[in-house]
Amino acid sequence: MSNGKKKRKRPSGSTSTYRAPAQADQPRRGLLDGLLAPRTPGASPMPKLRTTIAKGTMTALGIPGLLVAIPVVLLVVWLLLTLAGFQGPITLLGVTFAIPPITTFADQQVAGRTFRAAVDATGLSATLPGFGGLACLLLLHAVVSAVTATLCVEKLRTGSTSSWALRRALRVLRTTAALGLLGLGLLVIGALIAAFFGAIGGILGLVGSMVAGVYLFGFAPAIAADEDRRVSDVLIRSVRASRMPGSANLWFAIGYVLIALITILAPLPGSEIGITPTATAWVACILVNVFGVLVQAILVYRYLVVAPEVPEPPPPRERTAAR
Amino acid sequence: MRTRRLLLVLPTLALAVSITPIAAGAAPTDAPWPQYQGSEARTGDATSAPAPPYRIAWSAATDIGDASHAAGIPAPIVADGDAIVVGRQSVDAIDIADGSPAWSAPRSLGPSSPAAVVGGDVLFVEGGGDESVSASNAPTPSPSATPSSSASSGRAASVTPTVVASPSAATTTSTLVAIDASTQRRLWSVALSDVSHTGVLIAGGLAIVGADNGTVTAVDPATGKQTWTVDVGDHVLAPMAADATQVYACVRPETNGTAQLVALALSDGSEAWRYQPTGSVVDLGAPAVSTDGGTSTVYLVSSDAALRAIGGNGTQRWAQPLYTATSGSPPAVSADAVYVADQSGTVYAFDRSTGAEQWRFATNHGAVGAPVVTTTAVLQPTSDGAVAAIAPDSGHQIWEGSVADSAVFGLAATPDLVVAAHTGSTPGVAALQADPSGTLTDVASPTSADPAGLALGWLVAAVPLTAALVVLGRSWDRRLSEPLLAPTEDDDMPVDPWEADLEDDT
Repeated sequence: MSNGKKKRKRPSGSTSTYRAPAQADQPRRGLLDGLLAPRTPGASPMPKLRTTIAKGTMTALGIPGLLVAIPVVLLVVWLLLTLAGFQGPITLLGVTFAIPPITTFADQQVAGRTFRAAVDATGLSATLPGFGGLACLLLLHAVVSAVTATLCVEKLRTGSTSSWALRRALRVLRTTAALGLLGLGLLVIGALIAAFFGAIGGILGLVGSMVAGVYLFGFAPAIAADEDRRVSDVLIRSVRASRMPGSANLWFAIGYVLIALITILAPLPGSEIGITPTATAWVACILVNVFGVLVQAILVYRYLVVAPEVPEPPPPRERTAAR
Repeated sequence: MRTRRLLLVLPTLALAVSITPIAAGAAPTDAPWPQYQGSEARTGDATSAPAPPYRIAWSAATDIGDASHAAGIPAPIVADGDAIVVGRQSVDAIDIADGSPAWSAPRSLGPSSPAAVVGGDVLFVEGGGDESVSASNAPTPSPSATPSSSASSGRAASVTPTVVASPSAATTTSTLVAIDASTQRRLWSVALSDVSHTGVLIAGGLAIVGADNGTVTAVDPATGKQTWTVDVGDHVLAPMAADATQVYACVRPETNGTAQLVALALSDGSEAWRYQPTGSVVDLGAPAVSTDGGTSTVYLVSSDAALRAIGGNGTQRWAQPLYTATSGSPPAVSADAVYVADQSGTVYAFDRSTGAEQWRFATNHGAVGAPVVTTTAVLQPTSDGAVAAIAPDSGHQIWEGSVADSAVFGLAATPDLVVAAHTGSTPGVAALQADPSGTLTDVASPTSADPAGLALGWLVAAVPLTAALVVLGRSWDRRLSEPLLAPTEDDDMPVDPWEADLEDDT
């Protein structure tokens, strides 16, 4: 398959598919340098939020297949869940096209109501249905997130999309699945922190863990879709990208998490128990998911702009040479 | 004695209406709903009640407190023509004929719990401190003491004779109090060893209360003399229930462990059996008991969002899952079914003997109070001030109305009225009566399958909305001559990852 552009083998040693990684000075490697890189000096290469939002919106709305897929996927997921015993509210499906750990938060709610063990079950039989259901939901969101990110990358890079995005998404799936697990871990940590600080701490722990997840790993799907890296490298690079100066990524993450939580918890149309959502409930659910796609596109655009500037981690110590 | 034995084997209704006053050795009173959920069985089964549709007959303010001040279970009881509800610092009686205040007795501040009426005396629990949302950590002083009436009741001496109208001094523990309903004079009081949330249970001629420290205490309602007290091990928080021979209390562990249901002999408090559910059940709700042919079955909800039926010997007969957890209120039990509501407001009907689900109706109002079942409807109070009436046979909602702007804690039924105690901007009691000019509805539960409605709703929403978004996106897309982020480093020879992937794969 070709899109008509001239092919060229990627440069040897380059992990970025489109661009050569930025050549940064290699400072002395510290214990956590691989993960927590120091902020890069100089002016921020990050585009302004207004620009990012506009370009991300244009990108997402410029992919008709993705827009059509949103209501179709929602209907299929709804049918499957209701067959499994879910009875709503459909607002919990409002983050189907969001990113972890926001999706993970909703997955917990849905799995708790749908994939329940029999009363009085003990041992594995008590935990397996819930974990199995949660795993299925995490996988579903990993697939959705991988496809969405890959489509956005292709759209931004080439101006169009093709079936190759789906094939590429298979590679991205490892990263998005890992993100789902990471999101679950973050929520567990948030819950543990909350246990020590009561109700207020519970809210802060929940919001804090979700903000941390979006802030640190929001770029990961874009990186996985755009570059050939191992999952661990993708996650580390996402953290490094998020810490670039003047990026307002933290504020973006806080705003997104708060809006997402509101869409899950607020009494929007469809926030009631019932297996026959009204047209209004469907409209609300679809629009909230379109918003989730827009956010993904924004994150993809934001990363692709700064990708050449994101510093590579320092190389591992050469122990043999040191000796 | 023979008469009493016959009564003991009668169905729950007979127990509720007949045994209590007789066993208590008091003159029968006009008490259609003398204690929480109508009887010591806590079945909430009203054989004589008005049928929906309803209209509000009257409303009366009481001392329940608004949403930030209410605490406990201020559920109403009805006796001697008055609806009686335990408020924050008073026990208030409302004349059910017209909703006018009948009397009010001061009460030391503490969590509200259902009172009970026996032989013209009102028994309630006071003290224990402020447990409302607005509570401070400091002990709340007692209300300004009403001058003592200092009149002798003429009754037998009580353990702590306090023949005064003023409440006990505010303490961190509760006190069981008896007052004369006609004069509101305190007849006796019994200090409990901890805070009590259970309310008063009148059964087997005894007044029984539980406390947070695990003690269950039975006293003679006429004298206040303690008959027996036992320690069941841990917190007893939920209202208790009883049949002819046993009292049932739920025990909640302080930290770790599994909640238990304990059956105690009414005669001496000795433990008959103890039921412990398997799995991680940290709490059990208030029990309700039905008796068929001398065999009792206890129905109660558990914290793992399930309804359980426990046989008279402590063995589990069946357990059914609910969609969400419950508030812990007791189920309502009729001759045909068990009715329970979860926190989402979904009301369920289960077959009493097999546990098979007969129907469920999602009211989509949160439920905190216990349901009441009449011959024509299952009445479910909700957390937003409504009462929903569901047909017992079809499971369809036949009426719904609002009685307040916040939670309805409980219902009581009389032949002419349904009395609801509620919090809100004007906390108090409201009465519903039959409305001949009203209309009944026939609404199926939103949890019922409606494939056509589902398809129609989706199509109406998805098609135009998606089309609009696609058109909008394409109009923007046409204005772009180039990709937003085409590779810039090697414009003459851009690397195409999709092609590279293809090469890698092949």
